[in-house]
Amino acid sequence: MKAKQSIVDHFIFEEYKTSASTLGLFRILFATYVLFMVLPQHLWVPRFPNSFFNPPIGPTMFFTRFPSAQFFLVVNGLSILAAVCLLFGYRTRIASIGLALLWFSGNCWAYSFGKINHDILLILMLPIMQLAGWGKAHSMDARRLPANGEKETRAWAVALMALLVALAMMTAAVAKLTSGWLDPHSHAVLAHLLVNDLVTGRSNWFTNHMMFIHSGLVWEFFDDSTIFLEAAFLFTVAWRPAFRVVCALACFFHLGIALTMEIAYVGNLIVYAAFFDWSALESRSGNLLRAWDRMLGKLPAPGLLALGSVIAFAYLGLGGNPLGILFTDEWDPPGVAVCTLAALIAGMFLAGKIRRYAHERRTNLP
Amino acid sequence: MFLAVILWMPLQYLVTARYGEPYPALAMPSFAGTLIDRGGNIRIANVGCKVLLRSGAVAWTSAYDLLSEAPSAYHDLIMTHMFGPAPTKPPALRAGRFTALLFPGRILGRYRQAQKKLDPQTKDWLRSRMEALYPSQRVTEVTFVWYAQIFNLKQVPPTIVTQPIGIRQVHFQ
Repeated sequence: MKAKQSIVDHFIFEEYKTSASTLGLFRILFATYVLFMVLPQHLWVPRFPNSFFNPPIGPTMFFTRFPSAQFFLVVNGLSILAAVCLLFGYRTRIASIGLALLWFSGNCWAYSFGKINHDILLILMLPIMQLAGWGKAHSMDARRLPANGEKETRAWAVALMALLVALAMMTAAVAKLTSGWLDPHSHAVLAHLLVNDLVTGRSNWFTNHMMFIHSGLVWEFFDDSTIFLEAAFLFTVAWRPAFRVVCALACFFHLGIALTMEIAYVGNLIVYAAFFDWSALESRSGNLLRAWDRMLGKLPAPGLLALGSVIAFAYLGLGGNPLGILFTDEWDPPGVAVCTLAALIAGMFLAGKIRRYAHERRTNLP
Repeated sequence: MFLAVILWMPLQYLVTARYGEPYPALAMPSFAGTLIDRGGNIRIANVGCKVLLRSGAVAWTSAYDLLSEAPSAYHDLIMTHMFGPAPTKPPALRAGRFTALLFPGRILGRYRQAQKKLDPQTKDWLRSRMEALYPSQRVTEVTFVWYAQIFNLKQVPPTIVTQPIGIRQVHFQ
């Protein structure tokens, strides 16, 4: 009993110990992603009449209509301001919780067409990583409040996030397991590729070439490995090194989906990045980080708020962020680029793991 | 907090099984179902929008063009819910007065889908979309033609069979 308790205690309080600096770097990455690839969002909702209102079980089922266009403008304006504050680590707690609430409220209405996009982990990440202490380094807060600037982080919050990711991924694995994906006669990946090609109209060079694969074994391998990968998150969550390996493998999985189905699921890659050790980046770009920290010391709070407001007005005036304006097609080059970059980083990480393992094997030989 | 998360999951599975996926839910895209039967048939439902112009000419538009204002991920679901084949049976909604009072959005959504005639707001929206897609012409009727494409990849060469599912007609006069 005691042994079991100590395993649980170790998972919650020890396994996911992360430095404030790594969490701070992840916060910068997260905020950059939100500012360049997420916001503004849902501005299209008011273009549809209320007769399209078809909410799922959730907060909006108590309503009968969509809010006005002004609502989405205000939600997006405040979200952009919060994301800018998060980027620079100014009032990180308020910015994190505020952005999570604004993002969630916008989603509730956008998903009231009956379609739910699965970005809940990104929203949950905001308050949880704030609790973990992602505002304690490379932030204005760390410089502004030196008394509270102790670099102690909360490992349990990162462990909680890992558990949420694992449980969420397991829902996808269970849905596939219970709907025949493991049946050797079914080739679910092939069928979903076809639907994506013919119904959604997302077809490209990769999809067309994939269709020439006539080997049932190959398609069955894709079906089975998808389920195993999604389930592996939960089986490895208690052991961080293995969990990281699963996250790294998932990066290749997402690159495959981005290339064949044109669904660049960058949100999940950002979620996996929370468990990556960014200290490697710190040692390689120390000068850049020192410059960033120096800049934070010189940045006045009113100036930051003014900058956030200018960005908010620019985004809302243009109706999108710079990447969204540059790449308007469904084929999402920035998303594919991020997926490729994530796969490269994951490949380097896995190669390093294998090298270290081989080295240890060699040195342990009698 | 860890315990609450673990206990939440069975509840979420229960709600999802009974009422469909809630929001918020701790879930990832399921891609449930293999879409393929033992005979190797992949059945895919699709829709085309047949547009009748006042001149008598016929044009075809896609769900993608019609719903271009919304992200493409929404198209399939919106098309099915708003412009799915007209139901042959009268609506069988069993919502009580209390349920309707408490969850008006849910009930309204299901009610609209069960109606044979398109909601006037939806019709007005469709008219404005037609004006945007065919600016120089007058559209008199839109027919949503639902069909199934059945692919058999076990046949060499693969065969494709098209079967009608149903239609929904919208007149503008």
